[in-house]
Amino acid sequence: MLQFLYFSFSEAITSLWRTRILNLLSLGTIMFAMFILGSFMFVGLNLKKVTLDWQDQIQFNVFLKDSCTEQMVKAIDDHLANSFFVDTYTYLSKTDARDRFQDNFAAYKNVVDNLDENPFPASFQVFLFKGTNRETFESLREELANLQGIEEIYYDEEVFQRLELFAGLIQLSGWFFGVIVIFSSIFTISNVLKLTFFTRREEVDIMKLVGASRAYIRGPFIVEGVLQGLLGALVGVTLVYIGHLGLSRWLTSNPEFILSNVEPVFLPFKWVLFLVAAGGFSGLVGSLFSLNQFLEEHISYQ
Amino acid sequence: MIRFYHVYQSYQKDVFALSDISFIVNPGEFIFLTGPSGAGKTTLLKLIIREEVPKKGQILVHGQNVSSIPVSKIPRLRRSIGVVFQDFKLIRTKTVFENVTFVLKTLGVDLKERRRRAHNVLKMVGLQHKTHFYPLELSGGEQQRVAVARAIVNDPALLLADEPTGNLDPDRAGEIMDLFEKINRKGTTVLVATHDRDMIQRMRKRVISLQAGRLEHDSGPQIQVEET
Repeated sequence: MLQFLYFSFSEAITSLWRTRILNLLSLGTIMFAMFILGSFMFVGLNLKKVTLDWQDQIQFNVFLKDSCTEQMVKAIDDHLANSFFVDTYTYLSKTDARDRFQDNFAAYKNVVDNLDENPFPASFQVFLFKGTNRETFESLREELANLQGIEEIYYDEEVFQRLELFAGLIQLSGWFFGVIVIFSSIFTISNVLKLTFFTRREEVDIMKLVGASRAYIRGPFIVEGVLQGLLGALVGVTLVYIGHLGLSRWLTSNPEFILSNVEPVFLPFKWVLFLVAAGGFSGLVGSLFSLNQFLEEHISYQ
Repeated sequence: MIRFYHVYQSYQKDVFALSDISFIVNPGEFIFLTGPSGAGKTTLLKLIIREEVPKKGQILVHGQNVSSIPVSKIPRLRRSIGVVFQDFKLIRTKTVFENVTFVLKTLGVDLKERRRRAHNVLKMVGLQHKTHFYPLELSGGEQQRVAVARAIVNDPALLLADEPTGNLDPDRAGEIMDLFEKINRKGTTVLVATHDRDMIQRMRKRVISLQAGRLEHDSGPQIQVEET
């Protein structure tokens, strides 16, 4: 068996090198397929991470009525200060809220100045401890709702749900496109191997005549397909990794970007293994497909 | 070594390439198979290595009936026979060394041993200095000698050669025949298909003549081939 593997590998590597231009085609296709699939997996994974990070620390705003008195504000403040689940909170007065708006949206500064009244409500911005679950948050919300002077407790749950859905869709699209490109890779590898065979059919005939067995004739072709797949997938995954490094660097140098505080994570090792194995598998299927469909009649001793 | 019993071969209905061929080749013999072009010499050699299956009759090689040998055993049969093809059949993308040792490699012979055997046979054919050349970098005579080296590298008990001197000048042809004789003296049975009458007369070996697919004459001891 070892002898057979040695023979198949050495012959396949020699052949890959001798027909390298042709082999670049299938290698490129597999690389493209795995790059697409890997990129979708990478983006999906990181979007999911962002939503989980955000959801991990529940943050909500308690908007106060204009009629809210100082005693009411103090009661709310005391409630938040005494809660076991509140990590930090800040009070934003009506004036602070207006100033922040004017700082953030300088173009609309005059619009706000021309208003007779300050339309911005006072609010508390509340951060719960990391890991606080939804039920705890709901009970705290109910407690706060019973206090006087509160207009609305705003928790942007839909944004998270949408983001989570989006991340799921990205990953699903990745699988969809990935499967399509994997099939196209199998098709390409199969055809490239057929072309390789055309250039080597005389060689195969001679191998038969001098007594090479079917396994020894098929072996190098199969190994060639698998190696093309594995190499292509490795290059594809490497490109995704380079993309990951580039994105990390870009986020660091663009602090104004909304997701700049996100540290993108690369695909887990088992996912990388999966992608490389998928490449090898595509190569195997491609080579078996071409052998069974076309080469068999040439290799047959019948 | 080889036994043909009433062998027929045809490619079209009622047109026989070989018709009722019977003969026996004993171990250690040197035999010329002769006849004009189209007489059936190449067909007969193809039947021995099971490149073709006869329409009728039985062929025994090394005691095996090659007409009914399982497909899985054909490679082993071919590896036990050295064949020198008329058109050399060298793999153009492999060097002289790779061509000569290809079969050894499929048998799992290690590189050191392959080098040793390749050196021995290439020295025998006078090409030990051209191991890294590709076939197209060699002359016709040199390619023929590489084909001979490949055929004998595995020490076959039987060597078949199909018009091995057809593309060579008389001097080179003589060298190849001397080589075959040398191999034969070591105990290998040699069967050479040729229409070179001068060479046949000079070598004084057993001759089997074919004419239009029929065995016209066999100069060897007349052996009664039993009915099967």
